[in-house]
Amino acid sequence: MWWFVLGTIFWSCSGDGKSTAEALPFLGEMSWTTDANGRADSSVFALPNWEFINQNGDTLASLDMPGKIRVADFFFTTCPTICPRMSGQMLRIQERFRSEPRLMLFSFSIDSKHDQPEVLKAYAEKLGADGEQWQFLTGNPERIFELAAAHGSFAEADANAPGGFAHSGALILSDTQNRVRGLYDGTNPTEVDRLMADIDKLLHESPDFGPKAIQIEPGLRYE
Amino acid sequence: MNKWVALLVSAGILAVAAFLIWRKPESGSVARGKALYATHCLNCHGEKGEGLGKLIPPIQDQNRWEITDLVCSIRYGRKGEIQVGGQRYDGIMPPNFELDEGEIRDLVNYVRKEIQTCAQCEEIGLVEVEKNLLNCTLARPLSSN
Repeated sequence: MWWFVLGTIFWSCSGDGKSTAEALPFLGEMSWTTDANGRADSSVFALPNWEFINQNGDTLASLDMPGKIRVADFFFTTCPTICPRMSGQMLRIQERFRSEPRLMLFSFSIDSKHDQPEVLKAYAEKLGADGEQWQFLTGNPERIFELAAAHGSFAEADANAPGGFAHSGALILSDTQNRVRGLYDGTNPTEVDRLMADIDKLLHESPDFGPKAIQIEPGLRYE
Repeated sequence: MNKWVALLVSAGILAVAAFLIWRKPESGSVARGKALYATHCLNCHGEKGEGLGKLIPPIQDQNRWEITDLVCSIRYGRKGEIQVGGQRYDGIMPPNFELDEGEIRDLVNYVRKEIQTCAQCEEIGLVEVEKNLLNCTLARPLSSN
């Protein structure tokens, strides 16, 4: 029997896999099953797969980069409010983990009409971002808004918001199985210090640790 | 006798307070400017005015950012290419028409005293803000869109 619980669930170690008292939680929707012997098992919904265009004009799919720890944010290049601060904090993360091949950063533009690949490329270069480890993506805005929601973040077009878009300043950390492990205020350097400490924890965590990831197709649950 | 001493001490305190108020007509301006900076400037220019890569220029150099530059940029924003510290910037700074002259004064005083760490800089007053605003409108160095 399957049943679902919405909200934030903290995984408690069941004895298999590598776990410590400081293990990061698994955020999002979880499900439990019970086998014939009455033994309970749990799973958590992973982030949906996606496919967008990056700053080089290439199609990039999440499936192209398996087994990566990821940090994501949702921004736009003409944002007159919090985006530069978020980008500055993403830059701090990249500078700290520049030589770490298991980590990737993703900045999804929520203004795809303006933020075409060449605009994203110029933004990334002026920011000083390493365009391999840190990808800037644009595409179908509805898909990107859905993806933000799936990350536990928020983005939408809003004519009354500064720059025409309302969005969260969250930086979202997910693990090698696309399970969300933390949300952090991307405008607060202290929060981003904690995010970087949590990346270190994930780098030392066994990939098999925690509940099984349930992978869904993009849009399956958000259309 | 004690009454006279108390009277003299009180008069002295009043005289010192009056002197300080006369010397610093914008008392509290820097503190107010700090709060305004956090709301209107910090996201782009950074906590210490360090800027962001080649996207947003630093504002730490007092010689580069004179009072007119600061006052006009805050009110009308900026666009077009500028050079700061040998680096070219071509982004757009949005205007801040919602800030009145007193708030611009407070921001400029905070930037000069704390961001540019100019201890010897005198705080500016409202008249200086108004005068500079008139100049930047006449010179049209900045965009108001």
